[in-house]
Amino acid sequence: MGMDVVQCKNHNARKTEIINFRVSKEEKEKIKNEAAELNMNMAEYLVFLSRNRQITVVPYGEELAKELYKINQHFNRFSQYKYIPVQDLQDVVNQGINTINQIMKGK
Amino acid sequence: MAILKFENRTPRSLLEMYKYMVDFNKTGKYGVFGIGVDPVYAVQQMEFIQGIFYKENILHPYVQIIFSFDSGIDLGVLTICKICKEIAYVLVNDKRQILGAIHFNGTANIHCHYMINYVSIRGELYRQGHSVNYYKEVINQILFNYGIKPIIYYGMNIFPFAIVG
Repeated sequence: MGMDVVQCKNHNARKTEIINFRVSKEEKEKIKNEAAELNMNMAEYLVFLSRNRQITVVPYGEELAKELYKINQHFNRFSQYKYIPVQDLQDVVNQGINTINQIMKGK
Repeated sequence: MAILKFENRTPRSLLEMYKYMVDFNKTGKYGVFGIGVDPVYAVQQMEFIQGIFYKENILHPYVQIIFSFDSGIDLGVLTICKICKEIAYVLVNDKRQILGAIHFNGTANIHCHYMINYVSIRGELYRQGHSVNYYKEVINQILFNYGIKPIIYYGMNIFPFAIVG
């Protein structure tokens, strides 16, 4: 637990160092394209990759995030109708969310 | 008088803060609500949004804001919940998950803890956007509509609240 905290602080430490290194044109394009696919710049992508060793891409993840927000708003409105088992529906949605969370965390 | 406080520090993790906020002994049956998030699974769903945008390792995963009513307010539980929800929408400038927990019990002043996801549903990090006084002014308008004593702050326009006293 203590180790986690230390790692977390290091991740957010001030960025004072600069890395310059040479790569081929093809390698640069590859890194650039892969970063763009994840809506990151090259620096963010390489740092993220070094921390996590692997990146789990959730297809349509950004749309899913928006839909989750919307569906929770709808559930909120439905919750006033006592005859609709809203929490049961929320449980089902969250099962899916939990599964994706576990995959993202590499479990 | 009412109080609005932005907590800069987040020493508790998302889960620890959640457990503190939703303590049934403090909130009771109607005290917990969510905007864009299921209050029962708030931690998982906030982590999900952070994970989707590769921001699960951020130092401050949430922003905590506390709104406290004046002591001795004479309002029903559901009205208090309604006010706290209205305030929640004021506190964010974009679509962002918010968990609210109103602590009714064991306190002299009924207050609401807001846990705002640091990552929006579009992947943007939290920015306060306006000065604290701006938020106080807008919240005071809500309080005025319910006849509640406002948040007092330096430079406020005192006139609309003269009747509330």
